[in-house]
Amino acid sequence: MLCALAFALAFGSGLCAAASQLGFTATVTPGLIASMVGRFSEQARQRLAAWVNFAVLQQASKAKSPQPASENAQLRSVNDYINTVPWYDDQVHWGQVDYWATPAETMASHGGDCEDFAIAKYFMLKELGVPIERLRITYVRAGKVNQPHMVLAYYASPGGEPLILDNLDARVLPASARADLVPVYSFNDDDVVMVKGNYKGSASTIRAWQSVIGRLEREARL
Amino acid sequence: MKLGYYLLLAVSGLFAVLLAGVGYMSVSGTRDYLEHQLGAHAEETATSLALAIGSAANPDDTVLLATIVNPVFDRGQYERIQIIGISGAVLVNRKLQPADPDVPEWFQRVFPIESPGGEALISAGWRQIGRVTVLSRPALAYAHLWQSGIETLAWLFALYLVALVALRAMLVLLLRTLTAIESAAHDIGERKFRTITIKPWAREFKSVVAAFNQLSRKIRLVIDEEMARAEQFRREAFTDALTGVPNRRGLDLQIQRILEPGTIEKFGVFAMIEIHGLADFNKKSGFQKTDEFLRHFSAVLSAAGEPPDFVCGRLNGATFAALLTSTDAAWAAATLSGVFHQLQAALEQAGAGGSAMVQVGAVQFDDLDQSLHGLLAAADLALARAGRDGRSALEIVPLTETGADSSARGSGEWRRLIEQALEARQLTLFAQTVVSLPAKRMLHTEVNVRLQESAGQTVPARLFVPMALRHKLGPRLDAVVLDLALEHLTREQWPANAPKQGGAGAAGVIALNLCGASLSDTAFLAHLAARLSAAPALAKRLVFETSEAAFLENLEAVPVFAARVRALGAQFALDNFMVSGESLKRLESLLPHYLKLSASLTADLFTSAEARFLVSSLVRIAQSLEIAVIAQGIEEEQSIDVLTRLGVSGVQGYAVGRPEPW
Repeated sequence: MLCALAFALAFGSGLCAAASQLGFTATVTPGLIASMVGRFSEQARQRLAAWVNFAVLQQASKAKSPQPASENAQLRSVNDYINTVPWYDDQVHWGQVDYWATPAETMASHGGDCEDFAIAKYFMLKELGVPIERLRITYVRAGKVNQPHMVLAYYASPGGEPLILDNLDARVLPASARADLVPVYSFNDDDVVMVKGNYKGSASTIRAWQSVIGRLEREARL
Repeated sequence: MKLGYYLLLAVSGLFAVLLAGVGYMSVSGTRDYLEHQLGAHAEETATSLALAIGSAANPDDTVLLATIVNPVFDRGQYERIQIIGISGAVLVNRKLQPADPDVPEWFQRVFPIESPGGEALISAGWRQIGRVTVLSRPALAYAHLWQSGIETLAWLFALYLVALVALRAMLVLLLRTLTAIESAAHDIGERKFRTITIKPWAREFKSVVAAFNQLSRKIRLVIDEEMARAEQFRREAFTDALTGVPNRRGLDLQIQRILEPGTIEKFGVFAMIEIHGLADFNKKSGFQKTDEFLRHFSAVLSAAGEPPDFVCGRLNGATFAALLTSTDAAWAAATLSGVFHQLQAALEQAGAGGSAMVQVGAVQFDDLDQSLHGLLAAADLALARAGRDGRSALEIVPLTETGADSSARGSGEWRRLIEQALEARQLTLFAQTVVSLPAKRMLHTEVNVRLQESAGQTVPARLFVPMALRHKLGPRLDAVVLDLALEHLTREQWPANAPKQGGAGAAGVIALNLCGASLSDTAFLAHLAARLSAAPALAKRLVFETSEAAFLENLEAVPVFAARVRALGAQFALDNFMVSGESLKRLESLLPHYLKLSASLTADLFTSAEARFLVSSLVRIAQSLEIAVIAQGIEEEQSIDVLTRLGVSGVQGYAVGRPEPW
């Protein structure tokens, strides 16, 4: 029992340090690169390097420009950057019916589907300092493809109209301009950390999200 | 405290701590589960409320919001349901007073249930409207936790009790061996060398028991060997080597036992048988023929009867003796006459009819309270009469006619005299010192009693005590002697008034003789117990002696008496020890403080190698049982050297100190 307690303490504290940076380019360590190269291909090295590089450039430009204008600019460049990753069906790309990839997995494998992109955009914007209460990963019904879909919604003000970051339409448009999308349910990890700092709460009921968080924690330890 | 209790305490304590831990963890685990369930429940309620409100026609209508919330809230499972608008304004707020759960305060403190809230975002289309927060009521969870806690505790307690009982049973079974070893060790401490019969499971115990038993068996073996040797020496010491019949010492022993006071009154004939002219026969026929004849003669004599009705022995070269006792006066005389004719025939058969003859002198008596000494003297007289004519003859003379009757007084006269003396306490105590060998330091003082006659003379114990016993006055006599001795000791305040005797504990020890009848006499025993417990300091200085003969007659009562006396603080010892086989074997269980050897054993130490062997063997046995051996009736200084060499540890007699008025 003592042993388990000590383990949990050591583990927990390590977790806390990394938790704030989960899914960020800062977690791209030589260990992570080696792991990704092993899982996918030698190209993963360049792809991850490029991703890190993109994040550095974005940080730099953010430092130069004033806040409100730059946040919109960041939305567009992040949307564009992630949308360069080619779309693959989960079954083809991951060999599973529904697989939610971490940003690093998406970048390194150079492929993904709607939720992978939404997740990657969410973590990228979070890393660039966008307050997470403005970001919501949203389940939507997409009229165009007529299938369940996922996008990232950006609320400049809580009661206002969001901007939609989508891979079906590469432009960043207000929700009213996207009549093809019907929102169903949204979440962010503000909900997740809401209660006592534990992963209890609404997002914890989304099994796939929990799996992503679990893999992010493993990646952070690599 | 016993080892078993330590183990039981330690293991049960450990087990209690363990079970308490298990109980705590079980309740704590249930608590965590309930907390999680409460949280999940709140979360689900919040989500479903958010979805219901989001899909309503006009989600901004607060009346509508309250209408949606109320049915859910009124189920009573929530402490609070709030709807907060996106601007932060509280739109709906339903609250219950926090219910006081029906469980003890301390329980809530030890196992707090923090009701986690559930929260969900309300959105209508892309528009975010606000948040629903739901807080569950922990009261129900507390009740459940309390109930399950009680059940867990009850189960664990039952388990604990079962484990405790099982543990106790196992320990008892396991430690049975240790108890057996302890009791055997205790017995060995008391010089009872026995083995442990229990077969333990544990290897260590097995080894200990095996080693213990081996050691005990070895010591036993040594003692048994000593006993066997003593038995051998005893046979040799009491048996005539040539003929196999008892020798003088052996006959003495047997006759003394038959003549012991208190036996049922019988008629008796004591005969001395002498073969006249045996020396001539020896000269004529050679010693081999003579030996053969003597053997045959002894066989014929001893074939005449069985002890205790008939005992015979060879006193010396050509003199034999026989004692016949019976309830029938005519039988003894007739038997003796038959034996006489058989002996004559044996003489004829050996071809010694001409030169040798058998002469028998016998005394007839109708009262067994006789001393062997008196009988020998009287029979000698009768033998002289038988030899008058110088041929084979049988002469039977009534004891009264020989003039050697020791009981000059009539039996009734003795009784009156003794009763009178007991009444008036006309008894004088005499003390005789017993000293140690070789240091000759005082061991103890033996106190004897003499009867004061009206004429101012005293009658020694050996004369009046048998008469007292015969009239069953023994216990009364012993009681009076005990009283007199205790009074004397109290008066004298020994050893304060006798600094010369060193004042050491042993110097003040007093030995008192008790008769066999006293040992099981209830009145005497009660008297003894009362006296000794009233004066525990004096009791420590007393040793009660009883004769070996009395021991053999009261085999059951004597060990009980010895234990009783020891419990009162005094000691128990055997007097007049003559090494009868039975008493030697029982020495081990009786464990007297010391043995006083019969004077007949030590009388001929100079002349008889057998007697020396017997005494030294006896000393070895006694030493292995840590019993002191004391020789008594020692009159010559030279005997003391022999006794010292034989290992005797104490001596009493004229050589070291006469009886003095005490």
